[in-house]
Amino acid sequence: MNNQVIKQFLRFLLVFIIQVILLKRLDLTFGSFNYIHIFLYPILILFFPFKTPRALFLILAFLLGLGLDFFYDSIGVHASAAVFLAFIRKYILKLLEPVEGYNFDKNVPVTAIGLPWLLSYVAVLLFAHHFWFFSVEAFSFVYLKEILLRTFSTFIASYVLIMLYLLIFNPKN
Amino acid sequence: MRNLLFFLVKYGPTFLFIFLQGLCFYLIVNNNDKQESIYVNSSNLFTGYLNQKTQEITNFLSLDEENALLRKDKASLLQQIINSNIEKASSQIDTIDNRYNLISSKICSKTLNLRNNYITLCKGALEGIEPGMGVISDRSVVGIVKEVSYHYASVLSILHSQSRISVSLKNKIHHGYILWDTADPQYVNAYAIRKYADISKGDTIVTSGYSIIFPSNLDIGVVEKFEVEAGGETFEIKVKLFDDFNSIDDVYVIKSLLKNEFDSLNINNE
Repeated sequence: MNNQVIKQFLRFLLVFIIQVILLKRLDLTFGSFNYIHIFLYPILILFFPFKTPRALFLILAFLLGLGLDFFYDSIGVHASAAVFLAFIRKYILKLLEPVEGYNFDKNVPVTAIGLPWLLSYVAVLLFAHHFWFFSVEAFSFVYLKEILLRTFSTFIASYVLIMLYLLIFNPKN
Repeated sequence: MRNLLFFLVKYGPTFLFIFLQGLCFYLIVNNNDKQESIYVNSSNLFTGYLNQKTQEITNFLSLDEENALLRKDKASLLQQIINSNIEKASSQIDTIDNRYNLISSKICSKTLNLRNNYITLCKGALEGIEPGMGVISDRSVVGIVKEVSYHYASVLSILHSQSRISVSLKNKIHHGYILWDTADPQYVNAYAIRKYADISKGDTIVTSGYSIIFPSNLDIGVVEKFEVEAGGETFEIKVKLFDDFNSIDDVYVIKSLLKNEFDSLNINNE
């Protein structure tokens, strides 16, 4: 149990540092196309231990978001998106539940449920997170076109990176 | 009682969610308020320290390039000294010789891709930087200092949706202001220049000097495209910035030596 907590914490730290030191600095401007920003940290919320009490999970997500906000100078925006993501995770899990149900008890990684499940699970939640994030950042739906443009392009970049991350850190599958 | 407990267990997380979102929005709105801009940002000591360390590594890797630029800067500075000496010798009237002091600083961290971009400088209040001072690079205006801590300063870059700087056409009397349309970090838009202004592609846009923050005639960019707003009296001008924000590592903070005098005059007028 303790071992599990330490492992989780180290993963937390690694992803957080990659996000604020590497990905924040990455400038992905192609000509005049300046809408791409990579977010890796949603992965922390997506695969946070599934048996965590929900209230605790929400508060941890809030703290994670706030921590990112300190680095991004955007107090509240990341926090809002992270809390939103943590909140809807349960409903998306229910929506995508396989016929035989989930098996969170044993030491089976959640990725073992299958590739199609994994692909759609990450896609749905990541897209929801990005859309929420850019909406809150713009703070008005007047900029809907811009919000959608940012959401889509950032989504594609983040999605590829997250899949790569899963490929590297879950070699069993 | 049992019903209440049941209710809490079932809907507790939902209420917590709503509460946390409320808190987030409160923070966002609060943070946008100029008067109550909060202390936790990248000028915060710890995040600032981490940013500085990573930037130091980046700086080391670009030393060669940096040196080349420094030599170039030195040359242009020398040139300015020579020019001003000639000017002084020839002019009859005594002018106040030092209106602005420049504080040079390195950039600790910056963003370019967001709607609201900030730059963190590696110098702060200890070096004399104060909120409200202008920040320029060698080739262009960069932004205005928003927050300072002892060792770091957070700058509202001109690539920020709320950053607004008074400008004019070089060598002409027409004035306006620039705003970033949040799309492309190489361009800003200039507004409020009257449509009878004699303007052409390639004209230089400079600071107007109407506020004490920036001296007049500091380069910002060149006119790329211009059109009269439909039914309007003013131009909407697309300005290409002289400086590529991605490559800026060194900036100068402008300390106005006459700021107090200027402010006291404005108070008297009110």
